Amino acid sequence: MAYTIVGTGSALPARSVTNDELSAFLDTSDEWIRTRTGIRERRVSTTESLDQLAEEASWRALESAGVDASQLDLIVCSTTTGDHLMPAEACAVAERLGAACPAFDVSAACSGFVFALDVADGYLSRGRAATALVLSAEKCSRIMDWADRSTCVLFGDAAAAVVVRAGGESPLWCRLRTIPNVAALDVPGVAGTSPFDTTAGTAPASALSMRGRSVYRFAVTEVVRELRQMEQATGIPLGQVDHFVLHQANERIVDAVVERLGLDPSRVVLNLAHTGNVSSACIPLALDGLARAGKLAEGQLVALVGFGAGLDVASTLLRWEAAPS
Amino acid sequence: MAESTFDRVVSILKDQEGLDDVELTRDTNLASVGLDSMATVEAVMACEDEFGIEIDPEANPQTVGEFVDLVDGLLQK
Repeated sequence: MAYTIVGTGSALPARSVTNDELSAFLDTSDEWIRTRTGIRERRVSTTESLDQLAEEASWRALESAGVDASQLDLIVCSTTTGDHLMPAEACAVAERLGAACPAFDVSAACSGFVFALDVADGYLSRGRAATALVLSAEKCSRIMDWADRSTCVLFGDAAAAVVVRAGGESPLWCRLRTIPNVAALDVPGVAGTSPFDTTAGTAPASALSMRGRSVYRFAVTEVVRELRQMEQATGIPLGQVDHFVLHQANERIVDAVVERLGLDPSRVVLNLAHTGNVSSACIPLALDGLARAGKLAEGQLVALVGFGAGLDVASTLLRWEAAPS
Repeated sequence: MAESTFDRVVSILKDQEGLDDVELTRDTNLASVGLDSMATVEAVMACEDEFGIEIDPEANPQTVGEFVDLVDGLLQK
């Protein structure tokens, strides 16, 4: 048993924020942000809730799959920026779709989509589900320290979803790893108002902090390691992979991986110029972009690599196939 | 005579984009010749391979001299 991705969808907030707009209240510039990150603008929620974006992306994925919400056996949502601490973002999606299946979230930061896909694969493989919705919904704008020019310029908001059905060749490879390092990339939880809690006040609640050098180094080293391991374990040379969809944290990280592995840049997705880093939504957003541009042909090989807070890294190799009959 | 740590570090720094024609001395500030934090991390990683050492990921040398001393300090351990 395995799975096939049979539909994709995504949704972005309407408001685009350019680098120049950020330069108006931060000591930075369009040139600085572009040359260091590859990002020109990002979408930021103004009137949209994350529930809305997640719902919209899900409807589009269901529509492209030709699957009705009532046919879903499982909804798994990757998020660390949900509209609710509880219930899960996936429950809000289930309610809005009118689905009556188990729905829960996976928290694995920017690697979350690949983790969620692997969780769904487990349900499909054990025969506990035949059709699942796997999505990533991220409102990164709510966890930014908007006075920190080194981080708030990097992120944006987005939701993206895929419908997966049991049967097929994928995944040809899947590996999840955690190299524990909380401080490297941390968003402390809700501070609360408990009169008994003496641990509060050590860090600002719910604002992201990042040790950029450590994260850059982790990302480049581990993504290269994952892809080499994937090649070795599957016997499929990287040169035969049609699309590399890496987490879109920073163009320079993607470039460094391309250079180290000698990949063909035309096979490596770069889509962060207009959306920034949308955490775990980067990979399904890129998949939806490829699918809707008609760039995914049957039989093609697609490698996904997520990496981020944890520090987590997750890779999988998919065969793009027609829907299983 | 074996190449000095200074020469080897400078050669690695020069491998970073756009530094071929720049003269680097111990006092050269890395940022002033266009080596930003990510390029510095790249150079640090290249030094680890070249010298077989492990450098603190958060090390943040500001000048060529500081960079050379960082490597030399680890080589003497």
